[in-house]
Amino acid sequence: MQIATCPSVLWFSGPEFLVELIFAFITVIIGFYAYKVFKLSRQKSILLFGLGFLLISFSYFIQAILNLLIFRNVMTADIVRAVTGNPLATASIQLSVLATIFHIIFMTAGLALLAYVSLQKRGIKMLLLIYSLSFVALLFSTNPLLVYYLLTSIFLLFISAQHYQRHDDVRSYSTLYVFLGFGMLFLGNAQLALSTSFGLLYISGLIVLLIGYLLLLGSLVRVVKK
Amino acid sequence: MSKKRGRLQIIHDILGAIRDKGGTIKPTHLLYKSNLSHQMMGEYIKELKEKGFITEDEGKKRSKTFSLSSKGYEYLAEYRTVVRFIESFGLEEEA
Repeated sequence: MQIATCPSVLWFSGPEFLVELIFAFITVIIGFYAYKVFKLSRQKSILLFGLGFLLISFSYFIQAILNLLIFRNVMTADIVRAVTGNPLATASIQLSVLATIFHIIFMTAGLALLAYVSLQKRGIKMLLLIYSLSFVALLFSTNPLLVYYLLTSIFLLFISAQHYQRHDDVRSYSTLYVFLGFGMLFLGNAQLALSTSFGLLYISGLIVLLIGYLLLLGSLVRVVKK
Repeated sequence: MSKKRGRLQIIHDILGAIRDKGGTIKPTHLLYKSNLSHQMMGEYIKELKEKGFITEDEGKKRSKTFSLSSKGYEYLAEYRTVVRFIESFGLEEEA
């Protein structure tokens, strides 16, 4: 599988590491809290929801750590010289590809699980279908990064639509936060997809994603504090 | 017509009935308080014992009683949060 790395803006590599760590931190909080609720309720959907967020957290954590290593490598080498054979940069490029592959696998697995949990009718066959279609598309595509962004955008759009419907029925601040949170994740993800052509969209995409994750955290805080 | 009680609500009602009786209750009282059929009651009791929410004790004159465990008390304390979490993130179990 030939894979391009996730688009990034070089001068943003340092802050990018911090933003990814924040994403990892927020999603791990939601994942662990879901596990705590599962232990009391024993509802399978809650366990899968928590697992989905933990997979997403893992994808960000790995990417953040590898991006930090890349950032350190780039800081110690001349990037132009490096691309033409400098061993430090060669290592950076390999790390970047590795970070992207891990990020794609865990993020796709996590979002597929969240999309499955948001379905009204669930079943193991449905879950297997979602996973097999997603990973076959990623594996056999000539442009896996584009397929990844399309897949994750579809998942997030679907999840947002489900939560909009839900908010329309329940009408509470918590459901509103969850709907807006997933909606922002969709918009942020779409901007990251377009950033392959317009580099600055990468930064605005990360900011919109941050707002999305903060809204989801806000909903969790409302649930716990009420 | 009143809304059908969900699984979590039924568990909450059973545990709440035991708590309201001081933490220990006789099966006949529990059946009356929980408003369930004998068969349904048996299934829920089996599940609650397996999860460690209640324990079955032999009382005086070999009469059977159910007692609320610390995990059961924890469930009652956290019930509202669990329900709010499920409602907020749309995680209800299928009907």
